[in-house]
Amino acid sequence: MDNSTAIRVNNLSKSYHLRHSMEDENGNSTSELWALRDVSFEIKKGEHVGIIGPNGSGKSTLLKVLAGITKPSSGEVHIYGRVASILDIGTGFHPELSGRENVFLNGQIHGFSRKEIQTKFDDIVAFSGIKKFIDEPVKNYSNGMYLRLAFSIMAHLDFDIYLFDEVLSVGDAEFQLETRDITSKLLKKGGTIINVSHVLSESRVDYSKVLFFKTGSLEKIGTTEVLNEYQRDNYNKFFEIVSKPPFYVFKQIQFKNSEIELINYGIKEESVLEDGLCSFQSFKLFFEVHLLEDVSFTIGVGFFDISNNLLFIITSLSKKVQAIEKKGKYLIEFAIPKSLLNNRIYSAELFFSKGADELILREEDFLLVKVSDRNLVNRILHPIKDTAMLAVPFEIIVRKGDEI
Amino acid sequence: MEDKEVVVYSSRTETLGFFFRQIWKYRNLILVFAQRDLKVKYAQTFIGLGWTVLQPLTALFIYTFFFGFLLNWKTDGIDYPVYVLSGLLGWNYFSYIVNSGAFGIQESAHLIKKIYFPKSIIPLSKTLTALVELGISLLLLVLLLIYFGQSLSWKIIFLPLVLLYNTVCGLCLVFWISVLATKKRDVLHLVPFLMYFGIWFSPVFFGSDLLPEQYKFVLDFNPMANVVELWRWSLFDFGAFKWIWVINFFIVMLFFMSGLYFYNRKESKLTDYL
Repeated sequence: MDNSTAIRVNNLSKSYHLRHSMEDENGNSTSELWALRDVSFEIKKGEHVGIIGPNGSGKSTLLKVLAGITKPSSGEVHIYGRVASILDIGTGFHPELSGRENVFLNGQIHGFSRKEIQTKFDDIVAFSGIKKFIDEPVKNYSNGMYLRLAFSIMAHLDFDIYLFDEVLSVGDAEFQLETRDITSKLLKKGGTIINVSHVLSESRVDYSKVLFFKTGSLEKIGTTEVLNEYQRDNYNKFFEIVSKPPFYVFKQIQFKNSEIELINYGIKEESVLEDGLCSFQSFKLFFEVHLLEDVSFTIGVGFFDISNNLLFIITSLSKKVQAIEKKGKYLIEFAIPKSLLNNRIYSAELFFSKGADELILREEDFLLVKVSDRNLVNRILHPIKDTAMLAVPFEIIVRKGDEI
Repeated sequence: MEDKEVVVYSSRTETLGFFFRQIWKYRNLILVFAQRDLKVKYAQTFIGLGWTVLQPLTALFIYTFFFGFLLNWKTDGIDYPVYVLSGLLGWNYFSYIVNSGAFGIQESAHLIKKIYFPKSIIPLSKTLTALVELGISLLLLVLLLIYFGQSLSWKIIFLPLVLLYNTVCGLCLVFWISVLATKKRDVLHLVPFLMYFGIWFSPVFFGSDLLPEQYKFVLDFNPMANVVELWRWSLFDFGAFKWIWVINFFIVMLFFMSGLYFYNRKESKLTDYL
């Protein structure tokens, strides 16, 4: 073994015994579920590794084994260095304790001494940007503040290996930029980062290695081409689903907290052509929400192309409509402008926020829709023989020379 | 490149040696968790630590009124409040360890599922918290001793051993309950039950002469009855020394060790069952 190895995994398998309340005909009340099967790989120091795969493919289990939280059923894992397992942001935070106390508590749970934490304390607080509130109990923090402080702690303590479980995809855009910044700093310092994600939009992150998991096995290992393949795979799956009427599919989501409940959602007034939703007619996205308290609520939908480029966003945060802030039921209808979407497949992301920027729900691929334009104007003779992402309505004036 | 420590995870059951090494490595956390628990408990209460004194004080008044005054239970030369408090010390300490230890792992499930640390740290830190609370109750006892003019015996030098017996009784139950709870969760429901009725099988409120002569020996088989008697024996030289206390201590030790052994085998699986 050379000493540039950060993690070595040999023939790792992990099974869970599921307990049922009923016995089957053989008198067994447990069944075995293989979360990981015979996985082997090696990660070098300083690598930025992405672990991708659909839900239930074993990504999170792998991370738990790497973090030492759960034991392998067979096989071995060798870890060289100090591991930060950030499987959830703010793990170990106690709501009753102040931000300051939580910084120390959190650091100590991760194996650092008070002294080590003390030397980094100012940096941690500075990055978190909540200096004013550091002596307040964290139960009074907003999600954003909580997130910043928790992330800041992990980012400033000296670990060798960082395990992230989709935590980098939460938070507002500014936060995401900052985390990207921190990530590259950690890498520069020689840290090894392992990032689990089923979120495709993170694909633009520059992974040096990508592990693609499928039903518990390591399907492929490589660089970003694996990522692209995974995306193509996904795309094909989407394509199949939305290529037959009604040409759209919603993710089943349920959302309810103490303040807001999502009652219903769907598409209205669509007109269907034989190969997709008609783009000459506008169609309406509607949401029924119930505010259980007086709370300032914003709903938004972002539209993406299949390579996960954000095309445009529509939100209820508009001066033209009444504010959604008083207790009661609301029906919110968005009309997607006609002649905007092109002959393509789009995915939409749903997000809810409280006030203007406190994100409380983010559902990627909330809606998939196939649009047909049946209009050759848009497709005319472009050299790459592809339709544009959007069919933007435009005005044009043509004048002949003698009329100018 | 500097040598970093290597950690190996495999399906092998770790040795007891490793178990103790891990606890040593993470010993700091015992303190951290105990501090956290105390801080949280008293952070936003008005009279803070005063509650720890007020609670037994109120209980003491009630017990004294009903058992000492109304029922007139005899306590052989010791004033009833002193008798009850000296009995409650050991019992409450034990009950705190068992309750918070057995439920502590469930309570910290959110942590255990996200970060690695030896789970046995939790009952150990709860023991530390219990010790702090015991210390505060001891202050109350001192006040009572002064008020009632009760003198202490030289046998108080054995108090650390009594405390050890007391602690081992608590932790022994915690480890066994944790082991059995991985098989059947119902075991946890037994805990409050055990604490509720167990106190009546120990001479906390009554003197053992309240029992008919031929049934007195039954109490001797209950280690916690031993502990309660031992507290009074070492503080006030109350009652005669019984060798069965020593025998029971070793039996409990044996259960404690075997509990540890099985707990160590189960500890890594605890996360999967949470």
